[in-house]
Amino acid sequence: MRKNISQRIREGRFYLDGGMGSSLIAMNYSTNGAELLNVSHPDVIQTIHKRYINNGSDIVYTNTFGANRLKLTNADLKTVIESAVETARKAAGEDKYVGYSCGPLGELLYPFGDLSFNDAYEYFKEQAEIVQNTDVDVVVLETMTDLAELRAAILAFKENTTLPVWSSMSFEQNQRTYTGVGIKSFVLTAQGLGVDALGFNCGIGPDMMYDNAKEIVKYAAVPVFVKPNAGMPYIKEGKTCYDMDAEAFSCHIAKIAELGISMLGGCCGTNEKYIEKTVKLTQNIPFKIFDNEVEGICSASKTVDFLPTVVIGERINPTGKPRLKQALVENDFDYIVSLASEQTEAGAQVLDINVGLGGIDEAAALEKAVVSVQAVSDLPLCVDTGRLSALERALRVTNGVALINSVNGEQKSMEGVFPLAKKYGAYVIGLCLDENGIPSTVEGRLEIAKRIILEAQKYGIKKEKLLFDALTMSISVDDNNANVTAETVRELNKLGVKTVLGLSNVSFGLPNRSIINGTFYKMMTDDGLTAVIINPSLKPAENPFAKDALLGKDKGCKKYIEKVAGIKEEAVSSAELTIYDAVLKGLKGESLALAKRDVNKDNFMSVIDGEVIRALNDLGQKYEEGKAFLPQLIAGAESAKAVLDEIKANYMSGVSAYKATMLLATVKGDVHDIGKNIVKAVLSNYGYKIIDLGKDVGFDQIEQNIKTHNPSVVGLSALMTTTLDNMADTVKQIKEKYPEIIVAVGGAVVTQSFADTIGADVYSKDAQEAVRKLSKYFD
Amino acid sequence: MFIDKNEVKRYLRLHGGDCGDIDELIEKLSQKALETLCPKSVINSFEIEHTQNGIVLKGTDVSFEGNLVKKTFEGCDEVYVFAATLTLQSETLLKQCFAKSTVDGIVCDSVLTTMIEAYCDEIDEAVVKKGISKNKKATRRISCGYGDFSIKSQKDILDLLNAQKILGVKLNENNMMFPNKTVTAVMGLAPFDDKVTAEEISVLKNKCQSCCAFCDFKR
Repeated sequence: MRKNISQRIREGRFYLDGGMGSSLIAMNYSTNGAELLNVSHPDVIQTIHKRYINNGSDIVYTNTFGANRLKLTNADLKTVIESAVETARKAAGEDKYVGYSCGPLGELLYPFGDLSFNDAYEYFKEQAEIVQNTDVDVVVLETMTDLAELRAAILAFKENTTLPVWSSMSFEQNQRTYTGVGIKSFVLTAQGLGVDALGFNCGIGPDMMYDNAKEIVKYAAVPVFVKPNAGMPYIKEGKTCYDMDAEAFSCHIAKIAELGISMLGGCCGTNEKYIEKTVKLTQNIPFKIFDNEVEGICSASKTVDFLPTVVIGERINPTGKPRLKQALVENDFDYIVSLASEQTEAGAQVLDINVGLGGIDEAAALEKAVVSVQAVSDLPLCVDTGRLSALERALRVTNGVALINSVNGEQKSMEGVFPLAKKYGAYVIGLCLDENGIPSTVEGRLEIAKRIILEAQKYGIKKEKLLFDALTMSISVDDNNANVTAETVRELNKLGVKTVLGLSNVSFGLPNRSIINGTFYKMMTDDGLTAVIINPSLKPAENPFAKDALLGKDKGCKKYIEKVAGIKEEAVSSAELTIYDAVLKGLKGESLALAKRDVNKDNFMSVIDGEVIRALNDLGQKYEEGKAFLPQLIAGAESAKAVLDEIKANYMSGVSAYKATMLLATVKGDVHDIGKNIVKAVLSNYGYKIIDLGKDVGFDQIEQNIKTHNPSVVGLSALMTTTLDNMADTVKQIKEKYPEIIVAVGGAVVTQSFADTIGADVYSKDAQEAVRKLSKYFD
Repeated sequence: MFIDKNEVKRYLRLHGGDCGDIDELIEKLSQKALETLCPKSVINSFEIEHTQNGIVLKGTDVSFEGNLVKKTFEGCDEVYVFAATLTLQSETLLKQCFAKSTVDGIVCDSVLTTMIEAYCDEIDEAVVKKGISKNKKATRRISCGYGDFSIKSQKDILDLLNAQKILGVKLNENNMMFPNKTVTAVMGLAPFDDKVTAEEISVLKNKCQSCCAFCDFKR
């Protein structure tokens, strides 16, 4: 009778099985829908399992790699899975183990494809619910290349079964998966979610896997396994073959075994001979159970290991930011993404995401913000909310290991946050305050920090996973405020915990805040602060007057105000530049800075017409004359947008600034959207509200959006001759049902005569011509 | 691998002129692409038979048809078929650039197009060398979707190479590949004929000159 599997794998070397698909091919069965063989030919599957058991495998994996609803659309999943387990159990008997094999769903998750995290979860959950009632010992998630998909699978099996879960990804020789996941991100994330073992399978042979194995043993804190392919694939007589025989395979895998890796098997191209040779060659090699204590938060591709001082970008937070508030109300996640992008450029290592705003559904908005930001940013995220429901939704979709902002010393807060932190493997910022507010003394704040550490331990969260915020109060309120904060940080450092500060509060109510903030930043960095939550364009600096004020040596900050208030903050690099010049030259940063400085409630209309639109028109003309080129045109458009956004947010709230709403899409089947994006960038400055439906868009989706947005124009783009038919079809349907809507078309293969033939109202060869031709309808 | 800035500019339709900032951006993004991306490919050779409409790949049920195929592979007795991709990480890089600004996005797109072509050129050269070792001359590479070589062959090509599994390439119902920066191509090898001059080989190798497709980017 076999032992509990989690115990067994820690006690001795443990051999896995080899390839199922390649064994089937060798027996002349197709691997297409191979899972159906569990029902139609269980004897064949059992024979393969039996061969592995007879040749040294301690476990066989069920033939269920693709047993999911997306791949087996019409099959009875329950029967397929149950027969698979029954067959494997017959071969394994009561002494050997059965692992439930679960592979990727076969469709790409967002942002690579259309499948949402939550839908992926549901597909895995369907399997998990069936597996829970079968006689398997462990669930093995295999061949994953997308961290989001792996997370969905781990959560589905953890939440819907009581079984141990092993997880395995396919890494290439460059130590990345196909989607770009790094080894450390994989380990931190999977271990954070509580997997019982982890490793690699498929993709490459054991020779190429060696360096990857060397990397994983640096981070693992659970048993590790490898299941390489029989070398690299090649095609012979229409069949995929592998270039490494059993002898060579076992020699290479023995080298991996020498790294201490205890669980060995094979993937594509291997058969029982590979396992037999592997067993012979490795059974006496000593192994290790890894217990690394590696720290860090991560995204799918980047890890941050808290070497001081980590910069956490604070700008995705609507407090005091009218433009972000407006974006949240309008569901404009592009704007949030642009803030993420700017902060990444400015040197942020982690992005804080806070969308707390009255009147919106915070949980939904936070989830959407996380999903949107991580689609374009590779930085780890700090999920910032006081609402538990929002926190859990965001943690679920955060791809990697998140930082939670925050918990405090109040019992209710800890009881809410810690279970979520434990479940999702997240790090937590602990605020040194509780229901009685912020203690005014260092001792008071430390007392709360210690309370938080003790309470976290009850949930199995080590203090290494906590960062303490000593809390920053303005020195304009009390000269001693910065001293208390700084001293608390130093004391927390002595306790051996990580520290963090949202430090810009320190200058609240004072002039030239960035001078004080920069100086405080420098002082706290020197004191060993672990992380700082700031606008990442702020750099550490030292100003003697600010320093005295921060150290409490300048009563009421009088000297600071006297000496520093007159200094102009460096906002605009060239004093000579006008908004017109900046837009014409495509200088986005300067355009925005000038708009902030020069626009007011009395002149904003004249700025729009006299400077922004004039510059755009002049630039457009230069472009049409061949004196300016596409990138310049777009840079101008983006600079104009920055100015117009600033004006809209501050002076035009509630006023409809649009002359028309336009839906924009690349037609069904076509995945090229560069041209469409250019049209969007240019037209949005001319008073069009652009609803961008993306690429590969069919009539149904367009119609849905016609009903929601009531547009005056629909713009369609196609780049391939093969998708011109789809364009013709879409135009026809729009014109039949909504004859009042103007349809504009364009794209590399579209011509005026084609546009005429299909009944489009407007054809334009480029964005600039679209502006001109559409203006006839709306100006 | 080398990303030719002039090629990038050609895709961007920057016809000379002063484009200082753009030059810098091209340089920066080329560097980034070379650092982050690890292109992958799969290639295989097939003996061929000529038919009235084109060629048949021996040992498979795949055939390629049309005048472009017939003309290009005239005299050939084998073809190399390959698929090459900049992988999904190119999609991520492109998204990141578009999030930063549309200018970054379109420049990045052109950089990546140049890069996948440069990568294909490397594979192309390897086939030429292979040809020489077999005492054969290589044709230029052609891809389905150009001229009258139907894009419907895309699925056959990917299946032939098991590229969907090995490279992770996906194909939609209109035979568009994903990641977008993925190329499939076919090159022919013909026994060396003393009559073929170096000049003729260079014509054969010129990607644009012998293509009959209408294209904005024709050199």
